[in-house]
Amino acid sequence: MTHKALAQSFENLGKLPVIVDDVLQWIRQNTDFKNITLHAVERQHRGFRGAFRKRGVPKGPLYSADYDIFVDILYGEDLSDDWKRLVIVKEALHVFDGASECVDAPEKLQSLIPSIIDPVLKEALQKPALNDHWGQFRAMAVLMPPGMREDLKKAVNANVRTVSEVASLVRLPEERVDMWLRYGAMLDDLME
Amino acid sequence: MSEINRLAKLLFPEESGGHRVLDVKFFPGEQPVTVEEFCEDAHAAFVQVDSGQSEASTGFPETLKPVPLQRFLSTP
Repeated sequence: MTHKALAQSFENLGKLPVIVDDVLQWIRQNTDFKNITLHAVERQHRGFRGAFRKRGVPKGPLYSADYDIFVDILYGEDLSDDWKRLVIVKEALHVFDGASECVDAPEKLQSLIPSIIDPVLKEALQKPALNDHWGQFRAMAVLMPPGMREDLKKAVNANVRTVSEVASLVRLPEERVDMWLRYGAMLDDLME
Repeated sequence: MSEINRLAKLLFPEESGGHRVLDVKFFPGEQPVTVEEFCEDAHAAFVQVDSGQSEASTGFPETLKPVPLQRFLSTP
C-alpha cells in the first residue's frame, strides 16, 4: 500500500473535507503501522511545525531482533486547525517512506536538518530531505485528491468559486490550496 | 555540546536497551531559525513527548461534516 492508494480511497468517496482520523484509520487498517500517537507540543522558535518519529521496540528480551513499531506524530499546539490537519497528514504519510529515505542514524540527522531550514539546501537534496520536501504535496494529494482538485480548479477558473471558498471547504491553509490548485497537475507526475 | 549533537544524542542514544529510532522527519516552520534554534526546539518537543508532558492522543477530533463535491460545486 502507498500514499497513492490512500489518496485514491478518498477520491472514490467524492466528499470533502477529508477527515484526519479517517486517514489515520486507513493507515492502521491497511498497513503494519497500528501504533500511531499524536502529540501536541509547545514551540518556542517556530522553526518547525511538526515532526515524525518511527521507533522499534523489542518484543521480547532486550536486544531481541523482533520489533514492535511505534509512530509518534508531533504538531505545534499553537498552529491553526487547518495547519494542524496538513502537518498531521504529511507526517503520517512518512510511514510509506522506503528504507533509503529514512533518517536512522546521527549522521543522517546532521544532513537532514540544514536542508529543512534553508530552502537553498533543499536543492542539494538527499533522499530523506527530498521526502520531507514532497511530503507536503503528498499530504495535499490525500486531503484534496487530484480528481476533485481538477473539478475545483475548473470552478475557480470559471469564477464559480474562489480559492478562499475552496480552502474553507477543504479546511487547509489558503496559500497551500492556491498552490495545489495551480500546480498540482504538474506535481502529480513528479511525485513518486 | 551543540544543540544538533544534543538532539542526535536524544534520538540516537548510545545505550537504548534495544530500542531504535528507525526514522525522523520534520515539517518546516514559519519562522527563519538557526540550526541551533531549530535543534533546541526539536529537542524540547521530543522531551515533552518522552516525558509525557505533551497532550497525547490516538486521533485528531474534528466536528467536520464532509459534503459531496458536486453539491459544493452546484450550489455557490
